[in-house]
Amino acid sequence: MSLTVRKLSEDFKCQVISGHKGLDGIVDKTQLSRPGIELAGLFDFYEYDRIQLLGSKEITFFWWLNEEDQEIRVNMLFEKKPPAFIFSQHVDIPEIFIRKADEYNIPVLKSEQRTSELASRLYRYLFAKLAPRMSIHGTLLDINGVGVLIQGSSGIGKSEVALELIRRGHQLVADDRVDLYEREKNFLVGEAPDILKKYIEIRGIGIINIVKLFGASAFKEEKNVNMIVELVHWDDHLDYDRLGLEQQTKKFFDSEIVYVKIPITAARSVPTLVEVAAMNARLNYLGTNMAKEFTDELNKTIQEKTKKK
Amino acid sequence: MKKDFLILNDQGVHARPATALVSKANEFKSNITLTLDRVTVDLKSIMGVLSLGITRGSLVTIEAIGPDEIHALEELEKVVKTLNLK
Repeated sequence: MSLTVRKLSEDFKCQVISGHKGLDGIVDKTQLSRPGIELAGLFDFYEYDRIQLLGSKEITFFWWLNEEDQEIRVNMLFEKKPPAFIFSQHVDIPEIFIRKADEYNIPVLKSEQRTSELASRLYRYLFAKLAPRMSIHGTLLDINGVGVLIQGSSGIGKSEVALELIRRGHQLVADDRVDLYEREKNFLVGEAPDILKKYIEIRGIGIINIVKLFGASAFKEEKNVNMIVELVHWDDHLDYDRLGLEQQTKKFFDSEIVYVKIPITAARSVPTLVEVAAMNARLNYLGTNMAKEFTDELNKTIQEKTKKK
Repeated sequence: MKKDFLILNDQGVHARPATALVSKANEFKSNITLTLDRVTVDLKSIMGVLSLGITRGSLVTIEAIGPDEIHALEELEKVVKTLNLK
């Protein structure tokens, strides 16, 4: 997936001041550069392949320079052809940047945000757009704040479970296809591909828009995946986790995600099972392991009984 | 077992052709996937196939793994061929 300066500029509601011809240039680095030290004359470390972000600090310093240095150094910034220059709120863009932008066809953008906010938002945004991605088959929901990825073979009823959970007030992120990327280790983010956002397919009914049907609160744009629930057909020959003492995980990129397998039968209400599995994961995360509490009590009782003998 | 197909019908794989492919895929036991530009989706699920937005001229790969994979690919090839004639 390639990201153009135009797309970034639109997503950040930036005003394009000049250098319009460079809007189709590609942004491919997730980091930013703040070229303060370059304006001071040191170009040895100039990160010219990154977006250049300038705030009032850089520009105040710029006005300290004499006109000759201003011309030379700004020219050196442009000469290396970075993808774009973004100026933050409250900055009066010096005329020379506007002029050079048209000369080199490198966009100069103006944002309405403060430098620090803009920097952290840009960083998150670039990472989300440029990080390696993978698509998997499954349905992603936000169940009381826990990101639950439901997997299982097609036709097992993932979407039906999702529908019932949405009816109970939980949120849908993606149905059927989930695109994943890693924001950092053990922070795996999932979202729906653009065309599928808000839609879910229920066999026998067809494709439905859950926002129209259940309201805006039924949908969430993205969610970090906290656990994976795999639905499987009940098999008498398989042994399922009875105590819940051991935790299994599944690996995506570098992240280990808690994994549970839930066997389904006609008598088991799968939406409730998924909901309880999510709440159990949340309790574990908050420091309460119910299975361990139970077995600890059991061990205590057994020890006491042994003493009495 | 897998095979590449060139999509040639004018409107690409829109809702109806996608439904035809998915219905056919569901007749088989094998795991069947569809790949376009390194994104792989389950060919038995309509949403996954639609999410690819396959246009005319796309080269896609259909892969079937399972007991009836050969038969599945033959039948899916027929579906793609009928679609391409339209």
